[in-house]
Amino acid sequence: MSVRLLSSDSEDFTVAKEVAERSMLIKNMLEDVGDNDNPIPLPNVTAKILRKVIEWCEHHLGDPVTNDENERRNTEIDEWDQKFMEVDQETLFDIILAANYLDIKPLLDVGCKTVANMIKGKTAEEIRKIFNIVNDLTPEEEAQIRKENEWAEDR
Amino acid sequence: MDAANQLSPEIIASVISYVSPRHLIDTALVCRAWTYISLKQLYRTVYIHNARQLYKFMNTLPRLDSTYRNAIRHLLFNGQYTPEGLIVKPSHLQEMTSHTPHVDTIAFVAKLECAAPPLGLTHAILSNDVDVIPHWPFEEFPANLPYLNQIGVLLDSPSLQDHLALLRHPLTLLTLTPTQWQTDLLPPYRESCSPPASPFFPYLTSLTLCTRNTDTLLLAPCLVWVQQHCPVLDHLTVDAFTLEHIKDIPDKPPPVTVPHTSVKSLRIRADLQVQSLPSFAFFAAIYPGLRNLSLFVGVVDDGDGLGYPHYFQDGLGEEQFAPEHTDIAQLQLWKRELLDWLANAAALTSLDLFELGSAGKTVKMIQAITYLATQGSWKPRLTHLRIGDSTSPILVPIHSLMTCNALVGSVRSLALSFDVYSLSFDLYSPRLTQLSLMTVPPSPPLLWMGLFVACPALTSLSLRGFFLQPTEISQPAGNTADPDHASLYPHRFPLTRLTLVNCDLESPHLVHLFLRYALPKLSFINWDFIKLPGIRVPIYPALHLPDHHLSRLWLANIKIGFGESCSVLRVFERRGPRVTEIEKQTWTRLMEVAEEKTSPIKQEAFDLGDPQELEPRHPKHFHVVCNYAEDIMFNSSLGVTG
Repeated sequence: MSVRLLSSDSEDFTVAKEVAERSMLIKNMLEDVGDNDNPIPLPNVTAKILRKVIEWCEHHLGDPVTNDENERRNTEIDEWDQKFMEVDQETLFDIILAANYLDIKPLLDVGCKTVANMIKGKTAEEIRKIFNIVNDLTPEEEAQIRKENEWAEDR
Repeated sequence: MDAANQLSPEIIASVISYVSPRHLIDTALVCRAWTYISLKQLYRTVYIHNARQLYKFMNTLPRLDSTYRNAIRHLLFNGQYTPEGLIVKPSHLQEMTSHTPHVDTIAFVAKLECAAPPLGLTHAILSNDVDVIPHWPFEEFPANLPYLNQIGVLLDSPSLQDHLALLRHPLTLLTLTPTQWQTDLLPPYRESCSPPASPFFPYLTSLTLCTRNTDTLLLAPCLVWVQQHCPVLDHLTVDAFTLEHIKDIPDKPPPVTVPHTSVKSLRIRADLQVQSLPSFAFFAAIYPGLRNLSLFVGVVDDGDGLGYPHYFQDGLGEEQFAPEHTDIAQLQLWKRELLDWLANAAALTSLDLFELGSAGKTVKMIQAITYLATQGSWKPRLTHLRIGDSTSPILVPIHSLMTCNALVGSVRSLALSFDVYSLSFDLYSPRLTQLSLMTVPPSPPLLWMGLFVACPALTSLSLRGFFLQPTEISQPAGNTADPDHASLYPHRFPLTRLTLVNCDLESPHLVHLFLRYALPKLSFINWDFIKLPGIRVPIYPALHLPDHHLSRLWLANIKIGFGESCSVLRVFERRGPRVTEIEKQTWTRLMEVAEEKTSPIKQEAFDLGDPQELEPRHPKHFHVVCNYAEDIMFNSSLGVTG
């Protein structure tokens, strides 16, 4: 049993149904439309990213599905996933966006953890550089944030 | 590319939820949108662990934006690691909760004086130290706290039965510590064959029964009652009882139908009387679906004190023993039942065995389970195995255990605690990720760096009571291009956690080179009672890990030579971009803790022209250099490991 997926740049992918069903979005769609040979259009995902996402879903096919929030949060990124996420930043963000759109929670978690590791130990200025964010805080506001939350730094 | 601008606030929030509290201030300073997300995250759980922090927080609270005040859900107080403790007074709590309407969890591990708990509380987790339990009016709990569903420790109370009845429905977690535990303390127990129509604790998932009085008997009907009235119970801990009368239950399965056989995790800590050993057949029948089993049991030997020479002599082989004593036969039966239980617990993935029987009996037990596994009558699928015996020296079993592939082949996490006189590991376990070894003096020498070669997948290592020797490394003479000898550590290992307790460290200089180069992912350091050799100038104690992020740095009782304790910890952080020229690095001296003054924290940034500044100049100063350190604890008189 396989499913056809159509990327935003019109590339046709054929994947096993259980692989595609790691995506809750696709799973729900399949339940709605039933058996059907037409490809499922994924207008928000390019072929390059879809290929990565499918690779991830295939590797993690046998993973037990856990609904335990704590367990999901506290699991460290395994070695395979670490390697998988060794991509340029743009691709990483695109994978996260795709995981969010396709509703693949475990992949979204891995992506978010990877980004969190990127900003670990960085100053605000460095984080702005990574994310290309413009600082819209006034120096007074910055001072207030520092002052107000001083208790949290004390340990 | 502005990919981050496309990341929705929800995704940013999810990223920030993995950022540790101290670092949330940095993310809060990124931009306005991030301020909001970061501070909401920061205030969700307020974790206070010293008095100064408490006062700063209380000063901030009234002036704090209501968005963040309303975000506060959990107030946690932990004064365990602060020498002066943390005293939370009723007035403090009252004031805090008056500003924080949505708090649902208040937890304490601290010296505590506390008034009535706030309305809306859903979890109350209290330290089980009798002195710090606040005298909250327990009888009024149900009326005053309609949302309470988790209770940590309840001390024994004359009318426990009534209280249980009052609290019956909403609880999901419960710990009971009555000094007398009898069936008559429980609500009416009827010996019925069918589960009750209305169970007492329909939502209870975790139950701990413990007692302060080790003579307290736990009766089998209690466990049957628990099984009947907690239909979704997941974790059951039975602590410090004397398991005796359980043997009164007949061999056949107990007269109870257990609809969902829900208990997955069972932990028993108890003393057993040789004359009246409990029946494991009973446990096997009542808990068939176990995944995790911990047995910490000691047999109280009331016999002649000579032990049982034939007891379990030949594993499960032919009947070669000749019981000279009825107790021996009884112990035999008991062991056999235990082994039958293990062999039939198909779902078991985690097993802890401690002090089974009296001195040295664990050895026999290991031989027995090893025998079972090699013979194929038990097909264990263990991923976690913990075995220990602190009473006698053991040489052979580690060997037979480690080479029994059927038993340890699938194990990812292994903990062994033995009294070891000499240790030789034939340990090659490419799959092992957690290893914990413990021994008691005299500390055997251990070429511990070799463990990483034997277990290349290790992410967590804990060693207690060893004399740690560095692996011999021959230094090529006169290699000036590589003054730190980084090239001597060409291999990288994935270790993230390193716990050392009661260890003598030889050549600390080599240790820190090893940590720095071979363990690039190390982030969790917990050292307690570490003895370093007498320091020769200019090598003073230091950890020089300039590229490491340390999520935990706990150091306690670091001693140099004979009894000199390190009394000052200096942590140097380099936060910021990787700078190639070391002269241009800006370092932050994060923390300076001296023994005499309790935790004065200075934070200052300074430019270092000379990296030698980072080297300790005083034998009692312990210097830690890292890229970033999160949770820092330092002590020279108290243990931090508990």
